[in-house]
Amino acid sequence: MSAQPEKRPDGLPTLEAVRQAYERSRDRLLELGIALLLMGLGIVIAIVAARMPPSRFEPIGPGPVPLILGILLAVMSALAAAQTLRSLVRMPEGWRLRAPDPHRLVIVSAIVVYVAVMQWGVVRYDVLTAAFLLLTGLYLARFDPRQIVPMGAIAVVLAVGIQFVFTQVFVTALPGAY
Amino acid sequence: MITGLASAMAVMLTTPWTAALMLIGTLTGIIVGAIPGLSGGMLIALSLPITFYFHPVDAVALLISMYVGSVSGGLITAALLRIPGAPANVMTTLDAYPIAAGGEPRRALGLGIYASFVGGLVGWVALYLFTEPLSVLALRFGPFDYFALTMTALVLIVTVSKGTMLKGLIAGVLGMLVAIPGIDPSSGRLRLTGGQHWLESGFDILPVLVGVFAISQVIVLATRHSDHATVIETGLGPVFLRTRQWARHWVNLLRSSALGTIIGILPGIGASIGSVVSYAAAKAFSRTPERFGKGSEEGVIASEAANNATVGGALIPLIAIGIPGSVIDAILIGALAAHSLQPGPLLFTQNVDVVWAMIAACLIANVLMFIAMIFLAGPIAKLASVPRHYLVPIVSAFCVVGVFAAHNSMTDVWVMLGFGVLGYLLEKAEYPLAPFVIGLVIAPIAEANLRSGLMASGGDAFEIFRHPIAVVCLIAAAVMLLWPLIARLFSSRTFRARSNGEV
Repeated sequence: MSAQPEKRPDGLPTLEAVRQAYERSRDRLLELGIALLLMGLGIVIAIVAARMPPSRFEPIGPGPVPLILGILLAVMSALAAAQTLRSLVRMPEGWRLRAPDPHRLVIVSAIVVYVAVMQWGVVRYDVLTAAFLLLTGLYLARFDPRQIVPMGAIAVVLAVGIQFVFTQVFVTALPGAY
Repeated sequence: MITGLASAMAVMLTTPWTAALMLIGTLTGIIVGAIPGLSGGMLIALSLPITFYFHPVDAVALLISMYVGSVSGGLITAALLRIPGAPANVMTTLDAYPIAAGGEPRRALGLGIYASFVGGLVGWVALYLFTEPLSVLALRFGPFDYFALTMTALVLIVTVSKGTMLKGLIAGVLGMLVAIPGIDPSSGRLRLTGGQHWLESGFDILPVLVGVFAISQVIVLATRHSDHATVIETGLGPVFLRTRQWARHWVNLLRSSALGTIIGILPGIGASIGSVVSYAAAKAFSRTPERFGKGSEEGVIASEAANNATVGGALIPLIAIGIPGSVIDAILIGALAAHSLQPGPLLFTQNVDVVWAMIAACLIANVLMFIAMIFLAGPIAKLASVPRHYLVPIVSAFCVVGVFAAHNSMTDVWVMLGFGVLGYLLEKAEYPLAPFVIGLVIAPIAEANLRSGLMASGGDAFEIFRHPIAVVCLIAAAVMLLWPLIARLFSSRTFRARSNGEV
């Protein structure tokens, strides 16, 4: 974390060293964010659990276990946040964050849109699934034209196959329009 | 015992549907185990919804075959691509790849396959011999003993997980909290639902597992840059070894298999630790320790025998006590729960057919794995370099349809996506996922036993210290938790003493 980047003969850090340093600093920020989020979650759970009424029929009611777990989560996450903060403070100056890798955001968004459209119920399941498989596959293959035919064939066969197996063999109604 | 096993094996081998499921399970397990980025846990979590339509015996046969196959499949990429298919194959890579790269890929694969088979058999013998006696012993456990045992299991996995112990503990507590929302089973009151009706029955384990294991890996795969890896050619023929080529390592084979089995039995520890410990032991006992890491046959055998032996070992606490021996076992507990089966000592009396099916499936799957790996290792190696633009969309589509079909619920699909993103972020921030899953599975067991123990003792929490098993477990857990502090104290004292001596 606090290590200086490797240097070239002219004294400047190598591109690889700078890239790794960027990623480390980004990961530390993510760690800090998650630790703070979990700390907040622990506090909320502890407060809600503390307000639960005791049970009349047993020594401890529904509250104490989530209360203890909530307190543990909050305290340990605060410690983790403090540790991460210390390592962040020791980062060398002058390093800026860059935008995260877009692939994961695109893929997560694609799955969210796929599920949302499925729930909306305006497109048939097999059509929607084939389109999802084809488009995400082509995106990850950087829209290589040679991948259109194999990806398209896989998309159609899988979408129709899944629909057939679940509706005809497992007798389950899949979401989407019919 | 022998009658139960024989009848279970007869049913499984003579029922075409069950036999076919085991073959499919073993093959898909090997393929998924061989594909870097995909894991056995992911495959089993993804297959859970399909098993809801099966008889419990068929369901456990399929899932255990996948388990055995996935632990073994990683050998192929470890030897031929220098990429461990799973963490359990990291030690294999160190020696199998140099042997393969040195022009003997079939010997590298063969040694690993034969060692996997022997390790699997030794683990299975322990499973067969010790499960029933342990379940009889477990019938004497009281609620406080169970509570202490579950806490020890959680602490154990926290201490051996990757990353810092603090993060392991946070992940474990978070997993336990995920199990809390819904109707409190003891008082019947709603808790931590935030007024949301869909949360009244709590988080279903399936979308949480599929999210954490499959969707999070989909996100990781989407960001992976390299698509292709170079596979060392083995040809398509079978990978046979002469008996003397592998049998001369019998001491190493048996020692590593025994170590793997014992480590598998310890709650919460899986195949990766088993292979590391056995590899270290093999190196310590070797006449040529300098060859380890450069293409040592002993290294390949130790790692592969141990990681396959952990499967049988890990199934022992699952069946006998209801405590998961590894992450995959935690998922198997979810599978049994979906079929209204409660793993633990009562399983032997209430669902003895399922118990013997699990034990028989472990043996049959090992034999199937051996045959499949001998004949198909070459072709599977080619499959292992499937590009991510095929994997990511296909796995995503299966996750969505599988989770939806389990309860016909789109809410479950959203829950899966939420936990997928959470799992990805936790992994990215170096929080281990194993304690999260173990915490999720054992929280209801731990809470129910703690509360019934307190009810029986009239609210006296100190009653727990009057139960020897509970006391031993709690002491073990405390020592494991405090060990880093104790070790640091000792090392600083030693350092000071040495410094003073030198001055």
